Amino acid sequence: MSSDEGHPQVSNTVEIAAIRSEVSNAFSMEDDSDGEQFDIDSFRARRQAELEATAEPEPDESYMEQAQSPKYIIRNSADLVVQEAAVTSQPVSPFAVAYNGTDSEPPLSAKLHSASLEDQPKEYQNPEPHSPYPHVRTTSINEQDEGVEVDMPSQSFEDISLEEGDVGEEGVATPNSARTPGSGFGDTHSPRSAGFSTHQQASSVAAATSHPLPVSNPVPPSGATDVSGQAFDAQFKRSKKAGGRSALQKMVSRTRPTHLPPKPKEEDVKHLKVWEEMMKKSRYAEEKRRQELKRRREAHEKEVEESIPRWQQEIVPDWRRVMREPALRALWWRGIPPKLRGQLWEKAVGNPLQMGKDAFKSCLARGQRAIARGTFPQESLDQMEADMDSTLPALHLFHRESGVMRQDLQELMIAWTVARSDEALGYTMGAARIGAMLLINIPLPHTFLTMRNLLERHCLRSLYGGPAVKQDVEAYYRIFDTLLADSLPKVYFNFKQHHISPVEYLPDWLIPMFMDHLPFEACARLWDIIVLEGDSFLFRAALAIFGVLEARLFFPDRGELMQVLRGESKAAAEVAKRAAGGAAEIIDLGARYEVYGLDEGTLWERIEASEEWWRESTWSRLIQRELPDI
Amino acid sequence: MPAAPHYDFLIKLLLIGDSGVGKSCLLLRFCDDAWTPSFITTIGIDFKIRTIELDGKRIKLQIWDTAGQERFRTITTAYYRGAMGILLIYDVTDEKSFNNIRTWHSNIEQHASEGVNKILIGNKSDWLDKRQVSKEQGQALAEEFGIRFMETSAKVNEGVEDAFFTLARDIKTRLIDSNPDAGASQGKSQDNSIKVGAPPAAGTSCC
Repeated sequence: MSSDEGHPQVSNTVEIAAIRSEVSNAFSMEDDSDGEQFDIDSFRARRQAELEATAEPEPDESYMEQAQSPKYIIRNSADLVVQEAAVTSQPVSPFAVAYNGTDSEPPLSAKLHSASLEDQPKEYQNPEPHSPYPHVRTTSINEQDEGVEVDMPSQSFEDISLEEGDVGEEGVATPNSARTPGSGFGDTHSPRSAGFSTHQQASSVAAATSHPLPVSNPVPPSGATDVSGQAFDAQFKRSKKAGGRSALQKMVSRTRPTHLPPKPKEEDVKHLKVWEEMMKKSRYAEEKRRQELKRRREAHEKEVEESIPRWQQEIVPDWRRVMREPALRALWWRGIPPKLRGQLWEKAVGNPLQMGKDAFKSCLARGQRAIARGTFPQESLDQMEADMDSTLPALHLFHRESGVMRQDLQELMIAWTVARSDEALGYTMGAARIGAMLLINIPLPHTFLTMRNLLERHCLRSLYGGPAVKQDVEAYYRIFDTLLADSLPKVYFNFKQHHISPVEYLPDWLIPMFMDHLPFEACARLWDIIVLEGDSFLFRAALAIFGVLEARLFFPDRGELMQVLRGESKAAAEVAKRAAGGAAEIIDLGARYEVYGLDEGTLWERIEASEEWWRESTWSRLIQRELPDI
Repeated sequence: MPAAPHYDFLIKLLLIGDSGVGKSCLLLRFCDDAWTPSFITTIGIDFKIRTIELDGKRIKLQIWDTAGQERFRTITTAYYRGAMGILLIYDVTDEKSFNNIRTWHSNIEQHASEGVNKILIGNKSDWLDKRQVSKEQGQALAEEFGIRFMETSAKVNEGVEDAFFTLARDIKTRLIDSNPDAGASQGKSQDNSIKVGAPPAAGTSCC
């Protein structure tokens, strides 16, 4: 992957070779991580593409490889972006996107030469590509990489989605790329790609002025003899009409990284063809997978429905049998029939607080009296209202004015806040989610007992417990980190590199018990097992979520990673919207991770797969280690 | 707590049927006496309220309507919970919606409380030239289920009042007339009204 003696035009510059080596290293790491999730069809196609490419009569192997590798990073960082291009069904060169993927390369050289070399934050350093396991800690990697301080090419979803338009407009493959020394790379972006950070822009200029890149011979555009050529011409005309670009910009190839020489035309056409085939196969595979998941979901629902008599005979009369009999436990893990869910949750959560039957009534009465007298803390009331307003908005059940279950939820929240005030705790944002899910399954006043007891379990109690139990919460973060390192070492490693610790995402998941992030059905099914198995399953479910999101968690950029974790990846949202438009299916209940294709099926795949490595003993050992007092 | 209740009884009704059969239009016609030809998909679980008078009693009908959220099995629990009457709706110009009534009916059997009152409604009866399901077919299916049958048109306001009133009267006969205490205690508190159909232990509280 790192043959640096490539093109003569390139090899005369030592620095460039060094950069390229680093870049390809970076890519090769990306590639490693990508291999696992890539479906075999497109992998074969990709392999074929590589073979064909290397079989070219006059290929420059080193640049071929590099031209290929950005593709991996794209499949990897935004696997759907390539599909995006396909959706528009415009002939777009794969490397048009690849170019975008490496768009931030010019800054590399700038960085290399810049005086602020030492100032670069450590997390931007290029990680050692072949250290896949967590025991290789951040520090050692940084040491190994000493002296080669290069930004990983960072391409955000946002950038890609911004660039999409450009791909359609001007990114069409043309063999006739030309480049001029001294041209500011920042200028080559169309105005729409202004999403790049200013520091990159600045460095681009620095790169352009201080370090002119090799020039290839400008070849005048030839006739429209092929798909890409035609498309290019069409696009060319269009952009001419728009008149937004300079003559230079029109000549600059967008089909590949700027530091590489232009590609022969035949090669370009071939790549385009191969790429289209790949896309077709990939779409086919994706469709097949979707159908398979749907089939499995329906089969599962049927199975659950048919199991109702068994539930009623064996579990409802004495739910504790589930703890003794593995067969019944397995049945419970398959999901509680919705009809029986409420009563079984109630039983499984139990009443360790030994609250009386009238607890709800008395707490509610106290709360209502306090509100009437104006002694109910206004802050808690405001938080409560805001929390309820944002609870399952798509269901409309808890809408402030017209939500048919709003009143119930409000009463539950008031009573719960009153009960907690006895422990000097206030309202906690997220509690309305718990209340809502419980209310949907368990009518008042039983909801109250279940909610109180459920949130009294140690992990949730800590998360809801305020500053007094901060230590415990941190212990849970450490536990999660350890589990993450065990189960998804590469994700753990990347997170460590970019200083993302569980505090950034875990409370958001656990406090509302996944209600904000997972589709409603999937969430209810998780709860089935959480109520039975307790805190450990909270963590196991969280790891399963990472399992589903894994492909999106290798960004070499903190901001980007955080966007993914917050469910705000714009390109993913865009793609999901388009895909949903085609399938015309109601999927959106407002869950944040739905855009990543996370649903009951994909999540359960991961949970079932975790059977292989999950040991309850590991959990108890970790708890003993981190929380010896409980 | 409001001192004077605006009604004597509260009844929870559900509208069930395929998407596009006109559930929301029926609801709009019955509650607001309005009609809109545009196809606006219901967002989430919607409900409307209309208070009617039956035999000198004021009855508040709380009618639930969904955008196919019954599909989300978890929500069916909340949706069907405490429902006293169900309007099973199909579109007389759409045979598929009629055939699906069986599925919906078995759904009701599975999720709704026993003895819930049902009525089969063939909507869009004004659309004569597009009709695919005859009145006799509807009648036959209703007889098979042992429930009432009616044809309605939300557009020309035909049979809509009749359908809701008939169902409300059946429910009143079943629940309230046979058990006067259950209904009366509900009228006092608006907050606990939803739970009229719930088990007596949960329904009698009043704060």
